[in-house]
Amino acid sequence: MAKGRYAFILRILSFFCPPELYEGIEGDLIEGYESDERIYGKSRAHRRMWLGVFRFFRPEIIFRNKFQIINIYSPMWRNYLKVGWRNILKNGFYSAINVFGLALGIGFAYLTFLYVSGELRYDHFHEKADRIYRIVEQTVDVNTAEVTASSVVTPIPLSTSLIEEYPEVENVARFGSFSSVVERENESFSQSVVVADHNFFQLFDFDVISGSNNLFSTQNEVVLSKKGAGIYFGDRDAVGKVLDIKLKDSIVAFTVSAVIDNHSDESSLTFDVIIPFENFETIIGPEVYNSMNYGVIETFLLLKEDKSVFQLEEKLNEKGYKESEERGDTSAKLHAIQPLKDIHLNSNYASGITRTGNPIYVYVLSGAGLLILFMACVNFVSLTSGHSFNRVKEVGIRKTMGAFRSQIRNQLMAETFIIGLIATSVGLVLVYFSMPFFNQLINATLAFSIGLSNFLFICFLLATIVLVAGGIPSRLLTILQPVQALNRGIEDSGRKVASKTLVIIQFTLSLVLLIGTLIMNDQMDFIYEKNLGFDKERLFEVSLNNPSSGETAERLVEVFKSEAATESRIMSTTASMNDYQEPWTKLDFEQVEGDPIGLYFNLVETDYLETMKLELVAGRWFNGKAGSGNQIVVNESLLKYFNWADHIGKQIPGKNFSEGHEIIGVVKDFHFSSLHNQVEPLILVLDKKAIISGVTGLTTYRWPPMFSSMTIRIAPGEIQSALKGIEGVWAKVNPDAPFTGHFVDDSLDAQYANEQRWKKAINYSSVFAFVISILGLVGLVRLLLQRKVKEIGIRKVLGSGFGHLVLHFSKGFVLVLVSANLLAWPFAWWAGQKWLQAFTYRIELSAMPFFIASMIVCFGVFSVVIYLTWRASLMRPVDILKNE
Amino acid sequence: MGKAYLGEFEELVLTIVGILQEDAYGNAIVAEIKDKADRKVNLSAVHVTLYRLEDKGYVKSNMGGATNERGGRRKRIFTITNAGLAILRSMKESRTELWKQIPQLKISYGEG
Repeated sequence: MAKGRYAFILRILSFFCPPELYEGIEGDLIEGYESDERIYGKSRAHRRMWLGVFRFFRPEIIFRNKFQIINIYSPMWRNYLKVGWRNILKNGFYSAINVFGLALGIGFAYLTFLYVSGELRYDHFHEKADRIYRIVEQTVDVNTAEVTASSVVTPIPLSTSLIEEYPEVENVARFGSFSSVVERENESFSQSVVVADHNFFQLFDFDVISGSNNLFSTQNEVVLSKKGAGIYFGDRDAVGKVLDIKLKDSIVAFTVSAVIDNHSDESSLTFDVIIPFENFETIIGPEVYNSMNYGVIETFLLLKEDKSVFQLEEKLNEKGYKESEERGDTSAKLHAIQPLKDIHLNSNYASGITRTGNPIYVYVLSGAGLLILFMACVNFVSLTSGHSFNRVKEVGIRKTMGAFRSQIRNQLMAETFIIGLIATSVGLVLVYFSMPFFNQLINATLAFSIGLSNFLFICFLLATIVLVAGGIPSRLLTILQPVQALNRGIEDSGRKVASKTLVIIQFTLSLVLLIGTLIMNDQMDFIYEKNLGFDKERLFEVSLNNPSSGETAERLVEVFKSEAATESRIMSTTASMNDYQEPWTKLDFEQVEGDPIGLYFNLVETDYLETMKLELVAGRWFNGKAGSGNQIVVNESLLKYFNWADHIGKQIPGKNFSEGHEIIGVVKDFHFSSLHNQVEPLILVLDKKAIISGVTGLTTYRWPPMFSSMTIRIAPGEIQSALKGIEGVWAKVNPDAPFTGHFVDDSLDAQYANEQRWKKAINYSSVFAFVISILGLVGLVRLLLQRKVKEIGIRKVLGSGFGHLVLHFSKGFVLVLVSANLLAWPFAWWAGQKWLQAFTYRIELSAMPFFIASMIVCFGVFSVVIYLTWRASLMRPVDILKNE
Repeated sequence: MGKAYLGEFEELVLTIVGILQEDAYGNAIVAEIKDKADRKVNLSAVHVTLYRLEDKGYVKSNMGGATNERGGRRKRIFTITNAGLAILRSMKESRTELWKQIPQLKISYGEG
């Protein structure tokens, strides 16, 4: 027969075609095939038959079919659902625990899903995101190929050489930022201003909301984000209006050419005000602007569509090695390439101008989400299988009536499905209401939405729960033999062990979470209260708003200090180049021998030591600006770095120093960057000339060296009036400039705000986990007591008191608690140790968190047992024992 | 079923079933439509329409005898029912009725 050729196609038809129509349709198709074969040949006939079958796949045909199936099975399914629903209602308490526990788990999992999927989608909205890369400058030891330093801020001329020398590069864009003052109708605002190339808008897809599409064709354009436009123009149309932006010592008028969407919640590149890149030259001066030695901006490149990143990277490396060979250096400056999509969650590089997230917390939170969901499922399984003992009779009768095993399983699954569905809805409602709180907690901007992917996630969650949490208990039940079931042969020790194991697992997990939380809290408190090496209390920093020159800044500070002498609440005033708002400047020196070194640097004022309350450990502090031209003060870490026993007669071994300098004193180490890091070597000078001549490169937020802010120590007492005083002095000295300042301890807090927030998030999730495991315990203990109601009655008749009963029923839980503790401790210890290693300054793990967590869990368990036993023992024995 | 109503395509298929008499099955109807009305239609569309007409009671179907041609499959032969004939007739009449109301000679009174 020739039909072998199309048998397969017809089989597909038979899958969806109703049987009573099948023969007629099939015959017509075959007839068509035969005539097609005669006219067009085999292959075309074949294709037309495929098409023909495909066309029959339509609702009018399919639904004729389905209708039949539903007719056959629906009564049974309806019965399953009905019986399931009745069962749920009958066991109100137990169902409520089940639903609530699952709802908590599902809700938490959904929240974490929303958050994590948002984090993973960062920067994905750019159409060319796959081809955009950021240049990372790496210093590599030539001999060992070890990366000794890496920086995401790169020199300005780098982009020119990239596009000129490498044909793989399609486009480049530079991205820098500086803080400035923006004026609008006599009102001035401190504002961080971004500089970017014309190409920036071609590389990245920030949609224009209003205004021109051809951006940055002239140098005096400014582009605002929606938020930026709101700040300066409110609801009015910003396009075409003028903003005055201070560029160093001059105020330049910029015309708003467009308002664009900055995708602030999903973009690493953040900005509110952008001006063309060329203006940056005014800010940092032509020397830095044209030098390859100063890393001040971030460089992005667009790779040509068919080119490989690895080849480009190899070429870049080759060039770097060649250059170092020519110089005869032992280290090479290489340019690594980092994908744009990788920026947000890569913690290998210190953050530059772009904003980055922290991958650890994404892992921690998704881990906690999964864990809590898992615990909710374990709860469900242990409760349902515990509860199923009560249903053994029902199952036995169903079986004797001739029910198949699959039917009983279907019935239990249906029940799980109902509970799962209710729990999902409750969970989603919980998510909806807790969303604002959650957003505030982890500083996110999640919106409650059920899009396709979220919907699929929920379906997946529900399906998993029904299959796993419903599957296990129903399996346990259905393998029972009917006789066994009707005989109440349920004291099956194997199953008892199984449900105990589940309880142990649950308490182990919640113990681990609790211990972890306690360790984390201890560490955060430790960091928070650690001695910083200076006194952070009542220390107020006032921005000098980018003074036009070092002399202006010095004069301003001097006038302020003399005015401040009359203000009783100001204890002392000083000024510096770097403050606690941003990372400090790092200078590179070429050494006479060996590799270049990077040392931190700050230009300070005479009263810095006194105002900051730094401690001098050797030598002396500056005697005043006059005569300090070649003097420097260093910190202890610098001595350690060079292995010097003391500072006397030593010099920074830079190659290019035109004049000598003298180390006159050593201050005790104080923290000027995050406590995650060690205190680095630091140089303090009064006069920049003392050290600047030897510098060959730098990484900085501020340049050239001059005072950028004043630091004021306020006398103890009421803060508000003191601030008024400072503002009054400022207004006298510098009436036109905005007064912006902050407390140093606030900005230090801000540095740890992330940790603080996450600490809270983890605290809450461990509370969640604990609540879920206690819920599970409540359900289990109640089931146990229900089954032993008669035993309680008999014991009471025989003279048992409440104390005896409690003792008797608590016994079983001692083993559970002991095993959970033994399992949890080593794991929690290991995980805690791992986490602490991320901190340079950290606590030693002590027994305390372990002890406290165990106490909390024991207390929880025993209060549940005692309370429920007490409730059970209130019943009169006669009520329990009279029936039967 | 409320007021009886036939769609344009349904009417066409029903008419063809009436024409073909004993030989009205899927492929023949497709061929006839192509022949008489010069329209290319899908086999599946015809089948679906036939089943719908059957649901409405305008055609009935039974399986014909087996032949060698179609891989031994029997044809599902459709025949028009009295109700089907009646609705075809009533649709034709109502259309003729309407058609008559269109003025056949159009005179326009122009103003300029």
